[in-house]
Amino acid sequence: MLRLIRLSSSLPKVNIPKANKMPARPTIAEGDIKEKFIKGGSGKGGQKINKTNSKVQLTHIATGIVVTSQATRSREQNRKIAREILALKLQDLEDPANSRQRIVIERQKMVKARKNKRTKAKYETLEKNKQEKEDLLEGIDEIVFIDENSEPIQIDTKQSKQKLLKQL
Amino acid sequence: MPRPGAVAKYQRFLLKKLLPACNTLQQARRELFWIQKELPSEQWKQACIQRGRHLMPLQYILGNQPFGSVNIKCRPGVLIPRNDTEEWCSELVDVFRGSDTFSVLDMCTGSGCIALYLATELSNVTVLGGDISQDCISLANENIDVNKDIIKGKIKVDSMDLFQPLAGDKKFDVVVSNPPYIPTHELEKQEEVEKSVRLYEPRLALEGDLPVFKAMVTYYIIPSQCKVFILEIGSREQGQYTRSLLDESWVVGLRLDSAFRPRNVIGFRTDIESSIKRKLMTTIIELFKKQR
Ligand SMILES: C[S@@+](CC[C@H](N)C(=O)[O-])C[C@H]1O[C@@H](n2cnc3c(N)ncnc32)[C@H](O)[C@@H]1O
Repeated sequence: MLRLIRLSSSLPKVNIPKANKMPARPTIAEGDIKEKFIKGGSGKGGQKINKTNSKVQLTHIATGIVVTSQATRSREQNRKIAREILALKLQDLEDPANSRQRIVIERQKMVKARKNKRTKAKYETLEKNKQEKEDLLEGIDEIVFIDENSEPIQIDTKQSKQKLLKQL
Repeated sequence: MPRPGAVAKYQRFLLKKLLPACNTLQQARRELFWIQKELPSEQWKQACIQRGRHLMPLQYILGNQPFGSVNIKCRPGVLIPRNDTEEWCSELVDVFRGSDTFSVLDMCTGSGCIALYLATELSNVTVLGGDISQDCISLANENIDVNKDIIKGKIKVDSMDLFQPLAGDKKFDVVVSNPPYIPTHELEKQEEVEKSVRLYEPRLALEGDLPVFKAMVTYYIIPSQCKVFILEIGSREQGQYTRSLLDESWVVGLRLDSAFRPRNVIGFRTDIESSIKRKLMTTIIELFKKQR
């Protein structure tokens, strides 16, 4: 009995694949997509309005898949992020077994599970600053649900959120 | 370390402060995210109040605006670069990529964003930015300095008054400009101009109409002997009027922005290189006819 308890409380050791061993980032040919810059709302544009966001929408012509990004303040960045997201989606669709998206998410889950385990063990030793910032991002997610009348929140996919987290 | 619950509560508090300046909750979430990413935590609350309660433009709070691959410093007294402007600059760069070396005058340069966009994307360009405001000239110079590592072409800014003839007999191949184009009677109307713009951005940068386009043509476009010009406009009428000031050696057309609003008047002389002509024509949706 005692033995059993001990076993279940220490999780089996898992081998997490290295981050640099992930499948390569897929790319997408410019000829395969249509790009649109989405201007929300009405108004006359130009000098009369000062927008802080810059939404980029990509349509994959062959499949009709549409992705958008307005995660950063930079239109150039959003264009890059949208292309990355679309390429990942397409790869996932065409070759799920070797999809970078799936493998990266799986790895993230493993990392998270390991982290949770470690967090329990030595919570205090975690780098304080980093954790605080992650908590703040978690906080943002919680806010998603405060206003039920608002439009559903579009998180710009896990990838770009992870990326933003890295920039923080 | 704050407990996660407390953090969420503080986030909600900040978000509420921001909300009046944002159309949607998602937009407020984005702005909060950017504030928290770019400013130290002790400034978050004040920033959210400045933005939400006082409607201060986010770019004045954060101190910058990305414009293409350029980072433009922003501060009160100088117009914040718009993404409608960024859009035509990116098309313009594609027109001139790979062509011979050419010179550009960016009249009413403000923060220097258009001039810098060209000079960072094109190595075959020499740009001169001109503005009447000393605040603009200083900021544009700072922006040149901030971006010096990515500048490929040549760039300079100088004091210039649109309503005075071009000094000396300077020649340019291309004239570009985003001049003040909001007519006086529209400037005060809240259904025309966003409140935050009216409250914080300089009137000098916004107010103008047909006389601006007249000065542009008679003092700059014609004397500089340029072959191509592209001007941002606020109405179709401003484009048609610009056309009326030029003779038949010019092809003059209208460009719409991505929201299908009249955004530019584009002109070129018929004797320019045909590849440039072709590319310019693809950005033009309709030719202005010279009315007699
Ligand atoms: C709409 S802002 C454009 C600024 C910048 N080019 C941009 O696109 O963000 C117009 C600029 O014209 C300048 N300006 C106003 N009157 C002028 C004049 N008479 N001569 C030269 N510049 C003038 C203002 O200082 C302002 O910077």
